[in-house]
Amino acid sequence: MLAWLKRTTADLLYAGSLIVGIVAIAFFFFQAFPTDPARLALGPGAGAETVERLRDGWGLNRPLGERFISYIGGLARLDLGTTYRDNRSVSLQIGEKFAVTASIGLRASLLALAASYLIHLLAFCVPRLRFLAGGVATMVAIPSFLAAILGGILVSILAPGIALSRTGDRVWNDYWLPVCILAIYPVALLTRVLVRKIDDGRRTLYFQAQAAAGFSNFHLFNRCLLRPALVSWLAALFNHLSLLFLATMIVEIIFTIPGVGQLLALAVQRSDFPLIQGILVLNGVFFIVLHFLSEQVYKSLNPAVRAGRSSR
Amino acid sequence: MKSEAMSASSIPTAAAAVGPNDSAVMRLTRLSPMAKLLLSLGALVLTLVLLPTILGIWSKALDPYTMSLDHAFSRPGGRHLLGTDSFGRNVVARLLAAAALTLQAVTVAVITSLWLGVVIGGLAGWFYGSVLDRCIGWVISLIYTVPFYLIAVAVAAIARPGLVGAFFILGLLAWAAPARLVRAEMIQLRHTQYVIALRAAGQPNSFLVRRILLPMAIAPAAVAVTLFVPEFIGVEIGLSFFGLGPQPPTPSLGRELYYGLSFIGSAPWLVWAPAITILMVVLGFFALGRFLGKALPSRVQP
Repeated sequence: MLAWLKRTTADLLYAGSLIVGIVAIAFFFFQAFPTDPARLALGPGAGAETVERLRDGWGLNRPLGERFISYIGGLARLDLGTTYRDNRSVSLQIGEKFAVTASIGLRASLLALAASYLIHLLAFCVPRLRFLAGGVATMVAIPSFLAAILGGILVSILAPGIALSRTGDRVWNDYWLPVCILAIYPVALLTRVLVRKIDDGRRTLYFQAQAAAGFSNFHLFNRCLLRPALVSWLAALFNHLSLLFLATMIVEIIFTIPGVGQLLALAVQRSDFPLIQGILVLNGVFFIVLHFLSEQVYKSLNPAVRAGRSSR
Repeated sequence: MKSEAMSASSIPTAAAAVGPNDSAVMRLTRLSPMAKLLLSLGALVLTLVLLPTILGIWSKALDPYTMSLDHAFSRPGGRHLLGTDSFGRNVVARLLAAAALTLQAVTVAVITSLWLGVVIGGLAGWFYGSVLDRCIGWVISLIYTVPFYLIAVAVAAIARPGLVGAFFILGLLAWAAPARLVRAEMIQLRHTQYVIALRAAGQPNSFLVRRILLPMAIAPAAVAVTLFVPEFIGVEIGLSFFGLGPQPPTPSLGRELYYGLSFIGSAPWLVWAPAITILMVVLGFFALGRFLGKALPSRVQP
């Protein structure tokens, strides 16, 4: 118990240091370039006095250290500042859109898990379909969000009325298409992980003994092959979630879904740095938290890792 | 004793460290049919898309900027192999010029990230377990938390440095994966009997790093970076979707794709032509990366 507590505390501290690092990067990154956001917002024709007044209004004339401390203080209260354009809270704006993005990403993950499982079950039970798993696994060649873009385009060619329409007013349940497109890469990734693990599992004496004992294919697959592969399978999904989140943002732009991706596109168009900064921080924190959770799950499920850590 | 130590010229270097018969040609002949297929696919794509681009053949035969409104929206075939766009510009010429610009930007990012990855990963591996190694490990973890794509969008939105400039900055931030692999390879190589024997024979560290460790450690990093090319191309497309890529009339793969989407109903070839080109380049680089992974001598797979 003490060893677990020590290990988890160390992991927590490490994750905390990464969060501080990501916040510092997101903050100082925007200061490293000579671009003046006030000048950018007002255009080249604006007078120096007007620009200076706007800089004052946005607090850009305060010392850098003071602004950073104030930014960190705000973060502690989940306040990421206000947008340049309409002076609205960045946290609130991201919060509103995040629910949509997270919902699509989550559904794509679940779909990927289910599809990968079914593909393997089918390939296992019907030997003639074994090529299916290998074929799907090779789709991992196309990077996550590139697959999303190309999938979106393919749909738009085949059914121009569905995708890429500019209306954007869809009901919550109407996101099945982007969800399917987003699931392409995770399905390939999870299938690939499972292909290797199942090949390893088939060679074990345990599996061969169970097969010789005449157990059904369903039992053999679920009990003898899937169960030992479960940890790696879920770990692969966890590790991919952050990229999936990113791919979701791109798909949102293609399908005009009002999520974080659209918000980012809007922020870029308007050169609204606090909003871009906020999305960077959110993505970083999201990834760190997910990684921390996946490590904890992995350690608790995998006795080898646990033993290796505690014996050190 | 130093005087009895082997002279540097008499010592076989990295290529020999993997085995006496393990030359590049030998490894090629031993490749599996799958690896040979990957090599063929990668080579085919390089020949079809990249070679004319690199050699500038397109610029002599086809001009991507020449407009001919009389031929606007010409269907693929005849004089225009892949049709023309709304300004009557030849789509083949546009795509080849686009591939040139995109690959130029990607090359900048690849070289920058590989160079940094080798140097930083090499340092971490050589000083394994030290404070420097831990600090580098922390920075690598930090870089992993922010995907390239968001960084590229942020850089392009703030500084508008142009495509090549944005990819240079991307390269400055994409060294984490190659560095991690070089570090792992260095740690393993340092403890091989071959390297221990050379150290015992009095060979200086600089010789070991320069002639033995780095040449061996670069292999997995180079493979990893090759596999990044599709990601980088994806970044370019994404930047174009945000309006942060090259501005018209300059062609880039992402720009052509995004532009084509506006005419998806009336001129679908403006979408599928760039989409297929992108897919070919991506799959070609993936095949090449996988082939390199199988063909190059390394202990750590990316």
